[in-house]
Amino acid sequence: MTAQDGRTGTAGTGATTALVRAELLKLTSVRTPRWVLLAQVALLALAASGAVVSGALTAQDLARPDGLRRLLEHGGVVGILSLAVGITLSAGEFRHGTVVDTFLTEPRRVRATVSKLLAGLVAGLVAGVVVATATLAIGAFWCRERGVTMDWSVAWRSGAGVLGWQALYTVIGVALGAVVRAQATAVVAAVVWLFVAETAIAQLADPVGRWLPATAAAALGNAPDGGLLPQAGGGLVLLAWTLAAGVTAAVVTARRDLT
Amino acid sequence: MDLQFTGLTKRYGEVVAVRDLTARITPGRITAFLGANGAGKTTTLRMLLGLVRPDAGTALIGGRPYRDLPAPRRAVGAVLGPDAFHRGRTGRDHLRILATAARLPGTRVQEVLDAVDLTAAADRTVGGYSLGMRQRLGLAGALLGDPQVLIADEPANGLDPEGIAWLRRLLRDAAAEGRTVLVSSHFLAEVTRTADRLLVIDKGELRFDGDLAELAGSGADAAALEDAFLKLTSGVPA
Repeated sequence: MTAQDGRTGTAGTGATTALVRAELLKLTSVRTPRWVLLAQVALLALAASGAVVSGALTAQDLARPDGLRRLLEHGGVVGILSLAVGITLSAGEFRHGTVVDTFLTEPRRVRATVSKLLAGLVAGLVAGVVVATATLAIGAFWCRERGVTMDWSVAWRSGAGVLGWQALYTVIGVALGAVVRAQATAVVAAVVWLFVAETAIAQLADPVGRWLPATAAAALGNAPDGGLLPQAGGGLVLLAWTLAAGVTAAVVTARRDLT
Repeated sequence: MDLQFTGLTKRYGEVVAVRDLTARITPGRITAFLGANGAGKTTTLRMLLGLVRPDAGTALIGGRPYRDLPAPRRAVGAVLGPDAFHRGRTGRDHLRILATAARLPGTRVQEVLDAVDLTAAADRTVGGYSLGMRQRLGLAGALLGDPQVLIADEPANGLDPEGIAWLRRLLRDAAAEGRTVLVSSHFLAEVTRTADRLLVIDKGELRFDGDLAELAGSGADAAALEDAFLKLTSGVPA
């Protein structure tokens, strides 16, 4: 990192703002992110409705905080797709070769990477608002359908958790894509880690499990307790993982040759 | 704005891609960078543009490394190939992204689209572009910042005869306006019609640095240049 990478002040802030806007334009100028967001809402509706229709969550369950939390947790689980969008924002640049233009425009790579991570955060927040709103709407629909009054004190906490889960997962996706560079490999690695490796580690070393990213994310998403960290604690742990991933991405990207 | 290579060296493991390259490229002329595939041209250009770190030596633009230029897109326009686009994005959006990131006026997008004669296709996705159209889009991106230095790696690839003539005019106009123009090329016939000066690189080492006429004679034609080039790159003195 050179002195210029750490340069602060109006010029640096303006440059970063412009880079973040350009990164967001990259997302909005292609169709995939919109389809992925739509797919998240569809999958959320399918999974949450399936849980109710199949009887896995009864009216009695929905009337209890833990049952409602199980229903609303689905909003975070589909966040793996936001993570994939984050991966496309960084690894997709290597796939399409546009990374050359990105680094020709901003050769200070730490700044370019930080801008990309910030754009991931903004995109993740947007996705989070959409998915959290859909989560609450689906929850309210099934509670009304089953003649239960939804406990909004629980629902708001779940909605806020889903928003944070989505936002941080998107940033982790950007960081992962920047480190791995191969888009498909990064997506597979994320799925294997979050759904397979982490579960295995949690079973083998129980006290460690709740400090891992996916389990911390579930806590942030206000999932039913089951040995999870408290919601705020889960959020802080996931934030720490996100920051660690972001720093790793910035350091690795700054040192790499672009051949 | 001069380009200055001093003792530039890059190794990839046991392979020396560029060895102790020293040369200076001045404004107002078209300098062609010639070499066979794998000779080290692209690595040299990428070191100049801050994409690859040299193991030794420096590559400076106006006395500074690329990464220290305060507004790189306004100083240097570079085209490194016709395949650096998201195929699902329109040509116009590609340029809007570059202009936004470089804090260039949005009006420049239409200006460069007009300059490369791509306006009619600007709102189509790049996946539907021909190779020549992608070359033009790459050049449009390079021209966005109205740069003082123009660097192009094989810009004539995929262009039809009309496109090559257009490219020649574009490069000549740029040089006539006092810009520094460095173009790598395989097309020796085209080089004889475009370049004023040559850098010839082979196996990572600079074999020739001088005017076209010095290498290929005063009436430099493609055949004379080809003979001279092959002698240089086969190790036989020209």
